[in-house]
Amino acid sequence: MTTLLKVNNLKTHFFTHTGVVKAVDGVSFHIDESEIVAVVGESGCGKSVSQLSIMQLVSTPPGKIVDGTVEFEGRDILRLDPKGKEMRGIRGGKISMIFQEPMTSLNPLLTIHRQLTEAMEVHLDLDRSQIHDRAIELLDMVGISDTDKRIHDYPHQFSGGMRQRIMIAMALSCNPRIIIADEPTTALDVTTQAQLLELMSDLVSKFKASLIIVTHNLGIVARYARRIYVMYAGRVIESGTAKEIFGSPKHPYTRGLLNCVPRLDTKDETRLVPIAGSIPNLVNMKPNCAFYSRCQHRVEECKREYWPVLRHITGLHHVSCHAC
Amino acid sequence: MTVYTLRKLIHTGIVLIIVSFLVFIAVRLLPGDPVLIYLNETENATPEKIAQLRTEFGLDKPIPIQYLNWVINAMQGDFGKSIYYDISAISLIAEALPVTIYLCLSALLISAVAGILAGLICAIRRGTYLDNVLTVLANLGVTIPKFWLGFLLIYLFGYQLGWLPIHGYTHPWDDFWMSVKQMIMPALSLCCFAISSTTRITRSSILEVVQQDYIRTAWAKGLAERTIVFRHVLRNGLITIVTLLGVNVRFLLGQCVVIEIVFNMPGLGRLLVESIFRQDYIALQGASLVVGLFIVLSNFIVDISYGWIDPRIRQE
Amino acid sequence: MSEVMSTTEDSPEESATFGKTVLFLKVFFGRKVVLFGAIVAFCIVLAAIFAPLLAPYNPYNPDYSLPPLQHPSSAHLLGTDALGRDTFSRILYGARTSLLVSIGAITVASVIGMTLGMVAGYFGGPVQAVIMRFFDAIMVFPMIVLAMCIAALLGGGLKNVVIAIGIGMSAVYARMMCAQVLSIKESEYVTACRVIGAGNLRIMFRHILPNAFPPLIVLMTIQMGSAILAEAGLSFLGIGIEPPEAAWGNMVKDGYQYLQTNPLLSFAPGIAIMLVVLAFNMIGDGLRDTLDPRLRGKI
Repeated sequence: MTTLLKVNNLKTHFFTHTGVVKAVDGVSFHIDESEIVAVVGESGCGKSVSQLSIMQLVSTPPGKIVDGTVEFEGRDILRLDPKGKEMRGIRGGKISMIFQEPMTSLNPLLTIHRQLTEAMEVHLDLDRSQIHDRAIELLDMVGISDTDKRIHDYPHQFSGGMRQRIMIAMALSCNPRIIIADEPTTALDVTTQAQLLELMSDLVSKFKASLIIVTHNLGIVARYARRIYVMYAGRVIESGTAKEIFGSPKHPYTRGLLNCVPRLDTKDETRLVPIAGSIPNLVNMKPNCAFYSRCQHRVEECKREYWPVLRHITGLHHVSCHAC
Repeated sequence: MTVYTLRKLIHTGIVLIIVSFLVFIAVRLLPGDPVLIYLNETENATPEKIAQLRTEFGLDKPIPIQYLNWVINAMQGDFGKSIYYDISAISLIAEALPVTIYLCLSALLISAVAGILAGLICAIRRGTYLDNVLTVLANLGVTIPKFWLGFLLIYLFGYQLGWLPIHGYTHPWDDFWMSVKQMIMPALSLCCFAISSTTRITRSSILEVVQQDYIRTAWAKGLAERTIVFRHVLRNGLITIVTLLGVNVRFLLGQCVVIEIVFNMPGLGRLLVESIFRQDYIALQGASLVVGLFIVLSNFIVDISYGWIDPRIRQE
Repeated sequence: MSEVMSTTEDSPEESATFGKTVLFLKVFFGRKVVLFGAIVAFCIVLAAIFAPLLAPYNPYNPDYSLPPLQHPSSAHLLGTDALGRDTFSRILYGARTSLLVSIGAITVASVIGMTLGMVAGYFGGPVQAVIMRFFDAIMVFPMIVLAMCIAALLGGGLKNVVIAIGIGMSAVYARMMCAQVLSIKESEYVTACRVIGAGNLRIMFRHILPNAFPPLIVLMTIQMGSAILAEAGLSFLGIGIEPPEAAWGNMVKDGYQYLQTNPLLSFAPGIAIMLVVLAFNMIGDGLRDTLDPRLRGKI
């Protein structure tokens, strides 16, 4: 399997009047062809910002990508002009995104038809009627009924789950290599969540695309993701295959996350344990491990003024912790 | 859309009724008996004459009946006879109205085009030198008293440079160039505030829209900036801008009172002020009703355009 | 009951509130334009209060010791008008008039508008329909036309100008208050108040009003400038402040006759108007951006 996208030492900082927020501070990860990868972490850990940085969609100011590379198709796409033609060709064409808020991510004043076809008009070499047919086909594929009529409806005439289906159709419309789904199901109810994840993983394999799922819920990705990156305070603190992470989580934070999720595959009646404390304030952080104050396994070394390096354990399993 | 239009039509009708009643009642409350003022002009006030005139004007009837009579007459274009000029009020208004429409329409057009353009440029090129300069100008523009700006322009272009006539009005069909030359300074001093406020509000509403999730979606699709601005941003900013244009109509109609006095133009505004000073209540009543009518109409158009812009409103 | 509640509410959050206030002030005054506005407004308020001490001459006494219409000199900083009165002194006194009128008008407008707006929003239904349609009709008339008619009804003079402008401006407050109340009255704490049996008046004034206030404060500050402009407009038309009272609008108008020879007579009070309005607008914008940035584009 070949590597499709490789993010290296990405740093995205926000310059606010209360100080510099290091939302993403040296994150590296990669995704292979036809692979499903999950990026997991609490809200505010920089997982969404890291994905937006790949697309150069971080609002500037106050945000700024200060360091790092994103290798895609043999070049560093962070060096491209954010508004230039090459970057636009990648956005929507090669890499597409599904956002968290289906209620606000669609333009309320334009029909679904308009919003679904505009990316295809830019990226695909098809004429109007072909684009229209493809739009209908895509809507059928994501499970919207009566597509001939409904394609001319407006977003407010659809439910949240339906809108997210439309977003999925939009993301797939130009045969992208990678789809980044930023908390695609968080705003929806549980049954819809499951349906949508199932739909997404089906369609991704059908379109032979890769999928990055960003979520705060380890439970929902267990079935679909091949590999998982766990992020905390702007860094990756543990990574590995789903098996490795679920089977033998190493980092105290990952273990804490797993303890918060009800599991069906274990028999013992363990209680759900919340992680004590709250996520650190990312403004003017101390240089040592950011999980220090919440960690129950901390050792003397954790006070040292540097983050633990992400070291190799077994297979693909890496962890960034002094104590384990 | 039909239901929406119908509902707005009913709302407009109700407001119109209240407006006409307010105009009627307010003028009735003004100090001075219209009959006495009328007689003062003709100089023979015997009690019989007063009583006779009361019946003639319908003033002996109860207020609701008087109001109804007035409305019915007004709908037929009869506002009564001007107390001061002894001609029908409607002909006074008809004479003044084109002046005001000409003035306000040019100011509205200038302010809409220039203001929206400037606001859009500021928002899209936020933080640049151009944005800063335009924003400062817009902030200054809303603070200038209109009449004072008029004097400033008169001083500069009229007295010092001698390029433009300092006051007066000519119909464009009588002498087009003279008419345009006379209109430049009034239109400019009238629309200064409107340009500035349009710029400010367009800028902030566009900045607000730019932060929305659906704009991020549009960027993520790989659309060109131009497409995003015109298809996604401007359309969503339009709701605020249209509201503002409605506000501007009201504002311009109000301020043309001052501007018409400064530049000595025989428009509706001057008629209003002069009617107050001459206690010509019939003309005052008619002129304020016409001003109200125009604004109610523009509000209705604004409401209808909301429905046209936003499908959520249209299908409510 | 209420005392117990208020003490438990206040004490633990005291430091947080203090921190918030400090941050608010820091952000608020951190912007140069806001700081500029605040300083200018402060100076003008001082000038208005201490006008009798600061003014070199009596602004009302005609002075024929020198020929009238003096050009600026060390004796008369901004020259004199046709009656030999010192322009600078009259501008200082004019600041008093302007501030008095605007504060008065805003008070009238907010008391009328906010009370009726709150009643409309709180009771809803036909009450709301009647009150708000009435304000819709008031809103139809341009502020200056409305104020003109009211001033004609009541006669000129400071008090009546205040009332006229106040009524003219009240509709905006009513609308905003009504919208605020409509959203706040659905919130859980208001429901909670109702459950424990608090009366309508108590809920309106103790619970809804404080929460509806921030945007109205912003509106009040920004409208300070509009009120000053409206007063100037009315005085200019001759329906506002009556001479010999010093008002900037009157001064601009009186100066007009001498525009060719003594343009300063007309220009100086105009610049004074601009400065005050600018200062209040800057403060209002700053308040809006720090208190509630969502209001941008709405006020």
